[in-house]
Amino acid sequence: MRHVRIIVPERPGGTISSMDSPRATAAERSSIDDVVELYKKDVDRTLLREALRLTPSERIREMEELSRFAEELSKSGRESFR
Amino acid sequence: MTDFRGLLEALSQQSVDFILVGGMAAAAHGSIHPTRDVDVVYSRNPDNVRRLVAALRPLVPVLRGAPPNLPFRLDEPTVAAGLNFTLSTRIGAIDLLGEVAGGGSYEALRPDSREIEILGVRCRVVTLEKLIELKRAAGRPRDFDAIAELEALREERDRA
Repeated sequence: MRHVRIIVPERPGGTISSMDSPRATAAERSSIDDVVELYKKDVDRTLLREALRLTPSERIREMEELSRFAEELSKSGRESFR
Repeated sequence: MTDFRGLLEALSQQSVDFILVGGMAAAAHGSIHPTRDVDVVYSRNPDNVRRLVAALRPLVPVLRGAPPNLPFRLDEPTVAAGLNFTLSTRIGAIDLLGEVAGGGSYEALRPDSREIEILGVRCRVVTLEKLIELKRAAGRPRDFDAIAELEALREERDRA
């Protein structure tokens, strides 16, 4: 994970977290919130509700299975199109 | 594939002070995005650095993506001289973060974490609210869909 503080223009004396502050202006909030709201429309909430019914360990196991499947798929793809 | 439980267990067995962040923390909160590594914010306290080194040295860590002949040795002076390390080990990838954008050090982030059991291992995981802040502070366009998913998760959780 690389961490770069780049996207939100800071006001003098402000910080990135100030965009969540009630004092933040509409212009500052729109810089990222509008983008996130657009992405949010594509989130499949039925899958999230299913995940929320599981324990954290069960969620990690599901993620591991998904990762394993993705890896197998990628490997098969590489071999098939070689 | 990364052995998530193995890496958590290695850290836990040496009583390393760390907080799980990143994709694995997101998965623990209900994210359905797969991840390939374990991201932890570790305490820079010298005793903890010693325990961290003791936990990971047996797993033969190397700098991920670095040339194979690059001399790298995970030891206390190396960790003390650096801050964040992206490592590959023989059981998978782990990112060691001395500080994280939007969260700061282990000590600063600790109040925004909870101890829970994951795959039989007790460990600290950053809260969903703080995880969203960290993702936003990281400022990477590729995180936008992850932020959207985490915010949707928070809404669904609060609704339930």
